[in-house]
Amino acid sequence: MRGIRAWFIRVLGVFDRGRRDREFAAELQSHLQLCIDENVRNGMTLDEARRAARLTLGGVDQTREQYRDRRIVPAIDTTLADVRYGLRLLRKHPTSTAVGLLTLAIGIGANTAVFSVVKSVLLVPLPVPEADRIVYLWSKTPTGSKAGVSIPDYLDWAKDNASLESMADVAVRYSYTLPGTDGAINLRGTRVSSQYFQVFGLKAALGRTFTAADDQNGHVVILSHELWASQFGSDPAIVGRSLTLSSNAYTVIGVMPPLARATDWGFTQLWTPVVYGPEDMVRTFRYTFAVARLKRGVTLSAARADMDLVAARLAREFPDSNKGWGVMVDPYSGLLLAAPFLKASLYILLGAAGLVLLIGCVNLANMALARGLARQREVAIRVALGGGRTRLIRQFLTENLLVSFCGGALGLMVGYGMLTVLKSWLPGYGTPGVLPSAPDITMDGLVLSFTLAITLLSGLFFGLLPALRATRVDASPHLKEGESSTHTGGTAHRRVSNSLVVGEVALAFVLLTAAGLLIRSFDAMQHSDTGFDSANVVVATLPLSGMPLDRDQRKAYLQRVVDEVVTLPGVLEAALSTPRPMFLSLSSPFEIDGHTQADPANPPMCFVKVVSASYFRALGLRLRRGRILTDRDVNGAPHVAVINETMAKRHFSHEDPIGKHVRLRERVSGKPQWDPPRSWEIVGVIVDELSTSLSDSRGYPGVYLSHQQSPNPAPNLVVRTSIAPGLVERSIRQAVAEINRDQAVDEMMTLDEIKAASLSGERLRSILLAVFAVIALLLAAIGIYGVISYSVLQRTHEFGIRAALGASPGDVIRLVLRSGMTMTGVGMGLGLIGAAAGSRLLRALLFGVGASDPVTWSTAAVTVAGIAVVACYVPARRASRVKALIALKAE
Amino acid sequence: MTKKADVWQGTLALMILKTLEALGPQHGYGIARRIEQMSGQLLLVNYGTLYPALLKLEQEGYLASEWGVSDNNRRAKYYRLTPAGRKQLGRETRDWKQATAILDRFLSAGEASS
Repeated sequence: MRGIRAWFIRVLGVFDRGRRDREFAAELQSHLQLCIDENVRNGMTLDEARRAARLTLGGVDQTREQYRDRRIVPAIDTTLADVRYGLRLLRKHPTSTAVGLLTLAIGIGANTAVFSVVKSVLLVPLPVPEADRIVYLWSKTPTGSKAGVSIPDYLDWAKDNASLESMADVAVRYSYTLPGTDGAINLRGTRVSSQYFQVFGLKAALGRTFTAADDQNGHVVILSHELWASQFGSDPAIVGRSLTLSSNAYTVIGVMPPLARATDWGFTQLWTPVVYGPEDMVRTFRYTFAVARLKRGVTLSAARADMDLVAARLAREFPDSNKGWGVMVDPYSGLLLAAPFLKASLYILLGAAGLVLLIGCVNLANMALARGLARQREVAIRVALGGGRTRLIRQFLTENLLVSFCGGALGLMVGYGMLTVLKSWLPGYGTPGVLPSAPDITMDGLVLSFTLAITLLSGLFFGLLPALRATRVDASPHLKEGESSTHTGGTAHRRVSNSLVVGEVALAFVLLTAAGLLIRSFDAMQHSDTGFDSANVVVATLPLSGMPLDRDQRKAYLQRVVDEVVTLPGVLEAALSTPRPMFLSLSSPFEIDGHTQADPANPPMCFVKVVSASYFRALGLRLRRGRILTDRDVNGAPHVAVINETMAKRHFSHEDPIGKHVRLRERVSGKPQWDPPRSWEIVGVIVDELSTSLSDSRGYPGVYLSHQQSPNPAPNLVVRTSIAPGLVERSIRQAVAEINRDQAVDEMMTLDEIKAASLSGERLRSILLAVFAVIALLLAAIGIYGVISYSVLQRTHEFGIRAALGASPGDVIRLVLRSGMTMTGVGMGLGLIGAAAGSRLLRALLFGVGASDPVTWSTAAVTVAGIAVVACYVPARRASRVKALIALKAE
Repeated sequence: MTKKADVWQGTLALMILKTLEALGPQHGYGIARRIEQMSGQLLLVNYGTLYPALLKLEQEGYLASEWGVSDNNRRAKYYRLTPAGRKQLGRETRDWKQATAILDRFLSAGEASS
């Protein structure tokens, strides 16, 4: 305790210079005087007394030093002194300081920004407390694949398990229409059972969450924070208000805090309770999934074992529906976790940012080496005076860490700025696993620790080597008169500098090739064949939820809309479809008449698109064989279907599909089970329409049915226009409003916009990589320029002599260029090896280009070489201008 | 011991505390003289060892200091014991007495048997 008190006072003593030392000097003086007085009293003369006193008492300066060492904490004091000295040094060389700080700020900033994304998406995808206790549950089919959960199974699981604290059923996404003054809007809702928020450990910010009673009365709603703020103006009296959603009245019972968006990246705007009716109690109808919270202390494997028992019990009790079926329990964060593409992209970006920082640090190391060289005289003197090498290393290191921390502080601000720009390109709500939303990406304590760590590491990296080299000095040569400090230490220092630059060039080359490959992939994706002609096509969704019409009435209603829209000026074709173009759901098992029966647990799947006859014309899909659907294919007529090429190639490889029959089970929205399978005659084969994203070039087998013949209505409008689609959008909305004022027209976009949006992840990645590559190249150029400049400076004498001996400016330039380009050449050689390895890693992400694409590689090589020439040229010219006279001047 | 030796490190603090208890508030020179006196002039106190020790005791809170005027009108910094210092003096004295007692027994036992 006393020790701590003493130490504390010593630390404070560091900051109290001057006064205390003066006071002690006075105390010593007084001590001396008292001693002299006593000696005089004992009979000595004044002079003798003084001499005697001084002799017995010892050296004053040494005492003062010992006292001072006791008064302060020497280590802190010297470090502060080093920092002050370092600041003075920085001020003395403003340009190189500015360049160094800028380099660090950009490098650290880039890493901070990318790490924020990595943290939010990969490291902490579910930022709620105790996220590892939250799991999701699926059924496991007899063949071991994933399937949804049926309601009776879910209820039994909830009742019989021993390992789960709470469980909730999460129904498929549900859309709600909210009428408003500017027309109805569509809201994204999720129906959940009452324990949902307990599973995630979330409490309502206003009002309350669901209770078991709400499971009976379905007409309550909980709003998300974002919806409450944007749609209801953060009204504090919102709880208790009644809302009309999809023509039904709902009472608002609560508002969730912003944290609730963590459960699905902000997709859900409102939650309603799921109410089970007798039609849900079909054990074979497996369409939902469940989430649960593990009991305290229960591990995942224990829970899995427990649920296996529950499933086995159900299989025994209900063999017809559950024999062979099991339960899968997985951590919920796995649902949110990135698809391999996203993970790979993020790691690539992190690696690229790291390379940029590394290159920047190399430049800083070179600058520090050069500075160290210039200070060799100072170091020599200090060593001669008895300064310890450790002390000197500490000083150099402190100076460099000072730079690195200033750069780090700037970098934090730069990183924040970069992150803000990045976030402006992200959507408001995310697609789990594919693209995060802007509000989900945050800079928090973890990011700050990361920034601190890389700042420290950078400082050590570019500070340690120069510190070690600068202090490994043989004192004598530098103390001699007349030795110019720029002459000494040349070769070893040059070798280190050159190898650093070679490394830089290699890294920049690697980054450039990687960026080039991915940019070309992106370009290929953008221009890949979609099967349809996407120019001048507008798509919109007309959600029908809550509309009091039966199936046939809905179809008639949609037909009215389409008939009205097609008459609008500027509209060439109008059609209906479900789902929207470029949206895929491979959800229909099928059988082909005459083919061998597939395993019922694992049937072949295809997508089914229900369309109006004009769909094919609206999208410009080319027919391969047979005919497309027409308006004559109505309800009473024979059921016909058109298949796509992938379907034809995969399942009718040796025969003509026309005339064959395919049997489909269609899932009818609103009904709990599949309709019995119906047989459809194939009348045509159409080209593949791109059904997912531009980055996905796989073909999916599909079947097109007429919306008149299918039980499902097709509530998406697809409109081909003759003029720019933007000009027609307003009249389309008006036409719809005239038919039904409360019809929401949702997500109206042009097909080109949908195409672009499907590539937003890839686009962002390419832009970022390109930016990083350009920065890396610039930094490498600065590095080359710095090293060549410095060597030219050192060789000024030599160039003067050459000029005196008759060398022309051109000769000198060539000389300098040659040394510069040799360095670059070696760097590119190394870079080739590195890039070859790197591009192999990238292979999974490439599209339409090979890893050894010659265009990319040669462009990268030419660019690096070109920039290197420019960087060398300026110092080369300076060298060529050295006059002969200079060489003959005395040092 | 026939020549003057430097004061042993760890004991200087104890001697300072004891001196201040005996003499009351005293300046650095006075403390040094008193210690030399009490040792029969066999110990040498130079201010290189004295003042750091005084400072340490002050930092630990056992001493307090203030500037004053000496008998012959010289300005000097006076040190005095704090209550904590008094307690520490008692503690260390006990420890020392115990240590020397144990050592004493060892040495006399050795002599007796040899």
